[in-house]
Amino acid sequence: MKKHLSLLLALLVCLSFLVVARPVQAEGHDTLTVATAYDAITLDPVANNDSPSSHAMHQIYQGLIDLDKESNPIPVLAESWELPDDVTYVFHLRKGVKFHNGEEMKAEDVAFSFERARKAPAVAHIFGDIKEGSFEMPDDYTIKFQLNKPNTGFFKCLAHASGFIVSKKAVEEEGEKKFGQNPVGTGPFKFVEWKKNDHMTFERFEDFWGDPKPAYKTMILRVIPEATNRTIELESGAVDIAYELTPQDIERVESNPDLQVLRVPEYSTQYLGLNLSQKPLDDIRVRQAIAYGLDMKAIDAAVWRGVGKAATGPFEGSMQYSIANDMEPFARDVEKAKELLKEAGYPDGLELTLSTNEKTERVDMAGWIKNMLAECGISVKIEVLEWAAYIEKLESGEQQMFQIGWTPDAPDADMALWPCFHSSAKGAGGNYVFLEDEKVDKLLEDGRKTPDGEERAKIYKEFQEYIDELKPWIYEHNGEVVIGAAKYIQNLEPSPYAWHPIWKVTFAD
Amino acid sequence: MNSKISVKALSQNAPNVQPTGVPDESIYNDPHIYDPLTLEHAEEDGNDRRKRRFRRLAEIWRRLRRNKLAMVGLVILAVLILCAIFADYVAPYKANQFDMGALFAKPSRQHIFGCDNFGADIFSRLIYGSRISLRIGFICVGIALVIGVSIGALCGFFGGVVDIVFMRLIDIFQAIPDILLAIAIIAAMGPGLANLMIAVGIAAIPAYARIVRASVLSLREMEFVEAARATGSNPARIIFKHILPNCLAPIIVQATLGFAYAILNAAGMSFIGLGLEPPTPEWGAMLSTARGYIRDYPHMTLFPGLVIVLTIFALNVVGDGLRDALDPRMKR
Repeated sequence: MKKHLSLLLALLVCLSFLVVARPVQAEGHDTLTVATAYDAITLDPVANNDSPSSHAMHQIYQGLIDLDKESNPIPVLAESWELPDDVTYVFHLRKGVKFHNGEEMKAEDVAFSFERARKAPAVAHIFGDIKEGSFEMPDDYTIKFQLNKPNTGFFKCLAHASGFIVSKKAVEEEGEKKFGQNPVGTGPFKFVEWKKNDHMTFERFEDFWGDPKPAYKTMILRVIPEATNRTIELESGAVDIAYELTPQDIERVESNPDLQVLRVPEYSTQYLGLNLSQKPLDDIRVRQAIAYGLDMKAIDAAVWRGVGKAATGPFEGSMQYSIANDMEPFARDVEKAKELLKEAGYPDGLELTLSTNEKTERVDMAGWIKNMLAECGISVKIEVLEWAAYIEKLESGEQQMFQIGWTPDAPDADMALWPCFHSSAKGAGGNYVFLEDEKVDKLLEDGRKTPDGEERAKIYKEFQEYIDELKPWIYEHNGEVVIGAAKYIQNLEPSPYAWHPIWKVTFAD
Repeated sequence: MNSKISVKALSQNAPNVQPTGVPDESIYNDPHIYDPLTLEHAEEDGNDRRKRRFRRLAEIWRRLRRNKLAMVGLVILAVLILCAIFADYVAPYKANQFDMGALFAKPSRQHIFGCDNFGADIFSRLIYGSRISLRIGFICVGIALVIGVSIGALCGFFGGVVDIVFMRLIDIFQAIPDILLAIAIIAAMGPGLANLMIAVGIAAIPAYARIVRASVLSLREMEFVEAARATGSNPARIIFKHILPNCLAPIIVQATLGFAYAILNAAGMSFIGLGLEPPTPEWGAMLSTARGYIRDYPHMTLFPGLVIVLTIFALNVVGDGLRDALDPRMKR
């Protein structure tokens, strides 16, 4: 009896291997499986602001507008709009758009979504400036609202995930907290299930208003943190698309006749932050000494090996008003660094802590930074923290040096700079260097309200030059989106924000 | 571990396994394993005692030398210890000497084990890493030894309530898988070398406590302990002078094996990222970093892995050899 049972068990185990190991070769292609590096945190547009969540939400929600490749607005849920003055926005909504729960999208859903966003701390830097109680709905398909102050970058932010329109009825039925686990939007795919840190499944929404409709029925986002494993899954055919290939895997995928590599520069800027509220980093000479002690161009080459590029400014060079492309990476000068340290009162060097999260490239960067600064007499202690603990530390202001990146939520200088440098954004707002400088604040406030044009360019040029002198950031790296995909995948358009609209993917025969 | 010893003892004591008609030399008549300070030997002087101790060590060494595998292990350990001590002279490069020009260099004449993702020489890093691993081994075993032996001796000697309370505590500890226990301790105290050693050390306590308790339980009923009691020795003196020296053999064996276990455990902790500040040349951490490059640069995984395997192998065979050599019942 026992023997039979164990035989049966063995058979079952073998069978389950067969089931698991069988490559999900896309016959008829009605499923798209994607290997992602990180799981989403929430599917509620206003609960958190992070790339993995935004990426997932882009498949199930839509905003009033979207941006094309040149960052021009294109209509989505809004058919047209008017901006009567510099604080008033009027949108005429598309008729006959259905939510996943069957309700029609109306102006009150838009007002409800923006009112939630206005009050949400995670996206306060975008929607916090909407004037309280200013929503007006002359009819079901028109919405009008005002901002407290003029904000040139605001309009483009409506394409960001935090501006996605949610169903008022669904949020009220689910409750604010639970909505993030059971989202209802107007997007091409609807939510089916979510196993945290394993996978997320979406299904085609048959009543989707848009055209063309998705070419396949089921979308599965699998979380595979280990980069090597993502590549192996792609090679074996278990996934159709794999995100974030490592430098050493790019060549391997490129040389595989069944696979392709898609690359596009990312708008992210990775930096080494120096917390100005901590001694001795409040001394500009110490910050300059650190800058002189590092050869970021060489570090970038050693760690990223051809992916992305060494950063030269606080936001990516191809963005409007950025002067980064005209700047050279800071040249290393060990003698100068030592001299500056002596001037600052540290002739025998000093000790600093460098906090980072577990991301391989950041830890490698930290290793090089420690190595180079040691030659200048600065001994660095590296502290590796798990992501949640790391963010908590950065927001508390207890860190000295740290490494993190910022991707603007919209292609606007204000979105790229305000959260990182304005004194009102200290801590949780994104200003992790705890910079508090009148000139910085003034320039950012001017830049925010000045309409696009030469004057705005001048303000942001002055800002970038001033920040370069202040050295709260040592620029590290501008990222690059590197996606591996099967040859039969078409219409995959990598986004510079890493919110790839994979619902548009089609399959070649 | 413990149960193995007693099984062996049983079979060795059975008369039919004794070799060729030699009368059963009972361990109770062997002066060598009796405490030199018991009444029976009270008249001998210090000189005799030293001589006898030397004879005994020579005997153990003779038996150990016959075990070829243990000798191989001993040689490996000796090389390792010498490397750790003279790392500055043996290693061709510094542990954290990075080289942008030698990223992922394959093994060659300049770098016999190749280079890692920092362009640092893997051979040199392994040599410097032996310092850390050996330190971890010694300190972890030290922590476990002191606490475990104390608890075991107290429980075994006094019995009763003390025994019940402490051994149930040990049971609780033992109910949690020790790697999980170590992870929990590190998670609570934060990563770092000191915490790593404390965590791995604490996780190993139950094994020592159980072994010592078992030995003490059988020893405390012996005549020489009774004699010591009768002459008015206090419990501390009895435990330290009369009982513990007699259960040294199983402790030494457990410590040798525990040493291997501690190194492996610490490497495991580093591997899952609970270890030391990067880029410390710790073996487990090196292996963990190499994991991401295993398909492109297998030499980064191969050599740290080999060194760990060799070290653990050496410690295990030496531990086994010592167990056989120290066991008086194995004497021919």
